[in-house]
Amino acid sequence: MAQWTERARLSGEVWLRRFGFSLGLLLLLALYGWALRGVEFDLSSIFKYGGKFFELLGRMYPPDFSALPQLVRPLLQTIQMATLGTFLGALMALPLVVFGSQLVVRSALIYWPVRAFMNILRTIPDLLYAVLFVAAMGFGPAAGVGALSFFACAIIAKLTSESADNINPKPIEAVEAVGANKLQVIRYAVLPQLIPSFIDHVIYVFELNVRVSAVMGYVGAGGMGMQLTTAMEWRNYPQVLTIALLIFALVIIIDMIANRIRDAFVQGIKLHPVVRWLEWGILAGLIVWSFISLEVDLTRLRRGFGYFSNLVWAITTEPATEYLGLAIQRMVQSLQIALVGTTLSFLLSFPLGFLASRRYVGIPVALAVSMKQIPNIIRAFPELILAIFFIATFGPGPLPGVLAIAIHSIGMLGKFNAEIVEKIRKEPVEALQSSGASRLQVFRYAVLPQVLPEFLALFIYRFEINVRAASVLGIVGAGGIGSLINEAQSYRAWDIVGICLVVIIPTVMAIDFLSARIRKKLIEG
Amino acid sequence: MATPILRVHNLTVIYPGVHPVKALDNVNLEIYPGEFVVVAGVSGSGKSTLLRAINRLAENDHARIEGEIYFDGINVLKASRRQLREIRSHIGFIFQEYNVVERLPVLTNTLVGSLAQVGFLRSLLGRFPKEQIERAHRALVRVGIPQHRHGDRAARLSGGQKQRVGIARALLQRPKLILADEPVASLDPITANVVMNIFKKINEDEGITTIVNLHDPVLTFKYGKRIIGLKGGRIIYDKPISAINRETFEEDIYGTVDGEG
Repeated sequence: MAQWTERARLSGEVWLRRFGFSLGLLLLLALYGWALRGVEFDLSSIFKYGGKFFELLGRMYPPDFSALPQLVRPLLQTIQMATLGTFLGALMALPLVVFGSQLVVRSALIYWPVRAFMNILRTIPDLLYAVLFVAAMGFGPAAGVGALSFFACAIIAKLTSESADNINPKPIEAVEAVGANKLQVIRYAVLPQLIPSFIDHVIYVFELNVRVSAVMGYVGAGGMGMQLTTAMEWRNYPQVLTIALLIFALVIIIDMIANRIRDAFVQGIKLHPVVRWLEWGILAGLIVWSFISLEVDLTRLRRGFGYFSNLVWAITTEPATEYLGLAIQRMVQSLQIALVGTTLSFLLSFPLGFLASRRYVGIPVALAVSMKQIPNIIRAFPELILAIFFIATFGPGPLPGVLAIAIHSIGMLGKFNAEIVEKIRKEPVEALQSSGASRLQVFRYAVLPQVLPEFLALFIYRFEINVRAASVLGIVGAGGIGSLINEAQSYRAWDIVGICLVVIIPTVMAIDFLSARIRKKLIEG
Repeated sequence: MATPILRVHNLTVIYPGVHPVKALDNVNLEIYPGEFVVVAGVSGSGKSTLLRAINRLAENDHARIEGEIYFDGINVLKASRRQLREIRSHIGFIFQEYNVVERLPVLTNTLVGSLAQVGFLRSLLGRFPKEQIERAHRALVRVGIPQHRHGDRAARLSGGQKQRVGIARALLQRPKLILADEPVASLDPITANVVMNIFKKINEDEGITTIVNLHDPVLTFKYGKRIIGLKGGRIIYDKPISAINRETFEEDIYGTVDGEG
C-alpha cells in the first residue's frame, strides 16, 4: 500500500515536473514570438534587402584616402576627448569609491546615498549622456568631454568599488590603532590597496572611451563621429568607409597600447626613475594639451549646469506624464531589441566558442587560432556604426538595432565563450572517453553540462549591457526609446527627455539587479 | 604601589545581533607601569575583546562596551573622537595578522606609527620629517630587519618579518603601553620565540608596559611575569607567575588533556 502511494506520488511529481517544463517552454516561445513581432523581425525582408547591405559596402569601396588630411584633426580631437573624459571621470570616481565603501565610512547614512548616486550614474547609457550634454552645452567637443567624464566616472566608480569591498580591512585597523584620523587612514591603508585596481579600471575605461568618443560626434559631441554624420548625409560612401576604417584602426591601436601598459603595471616592472618621470610628464602633457585645444570655457560650463538643474526641475515638478505610456511602450521595444539581438548573437557565437578553443576537440590549430581573432576584430567595430550601416540598408526601425547588437555582441560572447570552453575540467571528458563514448556523447554529457550555466550567465550579462545599447540606438534611428529621445530632442521638449530618463533609469536598474541575482544563482548552482 | 597606567572597572562587552554574545562579563583589573602581563585563555575566552576594548577597536565590530577604562587617568570610553585618537597614539597595538599594507614599502608601513606626531598636510603628501624616517630605520634594525630591506614591499616579507614591522610601527608611536593580540599565533615555534624575545627586551630596556594575549601555555609560562587567566569572558586567575601552580592552572584554563571543558 505504502509502496503504491509512493509510486503514485513519484509519478505525480514526474508529471508535475514535465508539466512545468512544457509550460516554461511554452512561455519562452511566447516570449520570443512577442519579442520578434515587437522588433518587426522577419527573415524574408532580411533576405530581400540583405543584398543591399553588400551593395552598400560595394559602393563604399574603394575607400577615399584623399580625405585623410582633413580627418587628422577630428581624429586627434577624438583622442583628446577620450583622454580628458577619462581623466576627469577618474577624478570624480575616486571620492565616490572611497566614501561609498563600507570599510572606510562606517555610517550607512553616508555610504548608502553615495552608492545610490553611483548606481544611478551607471544606468545612463553612453550616448544618452552625449545627447544630454550636447543639449546642455551646445555642439562640439566640450559636450563630448562632459558626457565621457560622467560615463567614465560611472564605470570606474562601479568597478573600483567592487574591488574596494574586497580590500583587506586589517591594515585599516592598524592605522586607526596608532591614532590616525580618517584622511590618514584613507591615505595609508585604503588608497595603497585600491590604486592598482583603480588604475586597471581607468585604463579599461580609456579603451571604452576611445570607442565611444569616436562615434558620439554623431549626435553632435565632437570628434570623428561628426565627420561620419556629414559623410553619411552627403552619401559620400567612400569617405564613410575611410572614417570607419580609421576608427577601427584607432580602436585596435589604443587597445594594444593599453594592454601593454596594463601588463607592465600588473607585473610591477621596476622602472628607472627618469623613465618614470618621463611617463608622468607625457601623461600630464597629454592632459594639458587636450585641455587647451578643446577650448572648454566657463560660460558653457555654467550654461550646462543651468540646463541640468532645469532638467531635474522639469522631471520633479512638471513631468510630461502624458508621454509616460509612450515612453514605456518604447522602452519595452528596447528590451525586445536587446533580447532578440542578444539571442541571435548567442546563437552565432556558440559554435565560434567551440571552434576557437582546441581544448577538447581535434580542430586544426590554424583554424582555432584564426577563429580566436574573429571576435577581436568584430569588437573593434562600434555598434553605432553597424547600426548606421544597417539603417542605410533596411531603413529606420528596430530591425537595424537588432542586427547591430547581434553582430557587435559576437565580439564579447565569442571571446568569453571560448575562454569558458577552455577552462572546463578535463576529468569528466576523459571518464567518458575511456568508457568508449562517441565524440557527440562526450560533448553532450561531459562538456555541455559544464559550460551551459556559464554560457547562460554570460548571455544574461550581455543582455544587461545590450539593454543600455538598445535604449540609445534609437537616437540614430534604430527603434526603441532612443527614437523618442531623438524626436523630443529635435523639438527641444526637455520634459519628454526627462520622462524618458524616468523610464530608463529604473528599468536598467531592475535589469541589472535581476541579472546579478540570476547570474549568481547560475554560477553558484 | 604606584598609580596604575591602566584601570579596567566592571567592563562588559556585548556583541549585539539575533543572538547577542557577552564576550566579557564584569572584568576588573589594574595594570601598573612597567609590567609584562600575559593574558591566557582558549579562543573565545574574550582575550581579543579585552585588548580591542581598551583602545575601542572593538567598536569596529559593533561591540557595545560598558563599564570604565582609565588609561593614564583618562576614561577611554567617554573620550571624544579626537581624544580617542590622542589616547590611541600612546598605545601600540600588535595584531595577529600583522595588518601591514602589502603594497607599501616596509619603511612606509613603519612610518604609519608616527602619523599622530606628523603634521596633517605632510602626512597626506607622504613627506615624513627626516627625524621620523631615521627613527623608523633604527626601529626596524632594532627588531631585526636589516637596512637593505627597508625599501622592499611588505608583501615580500615572511610572516615573522611582517610581525617585526608591526612591532617597529608600534615603537614609532613612542607608546606608553603595548597591546599585543596573539602576536605569534600565526608563526612557527622558533620565530614565535624570537618575536616574544623582542617584546621582552623592549619591556626590560625601556620599561614599556606590555600586555600580550597568548593561547599557547608553553609561551605563557616562559614569558609571562604576571598571568591573567580568562575563561568565558571572566577573569579566573590574576597572579604573578611565581604564585601559580602550573598544573591546576592548565586544567582550569585549557580544560583537561582530552579537550573537554
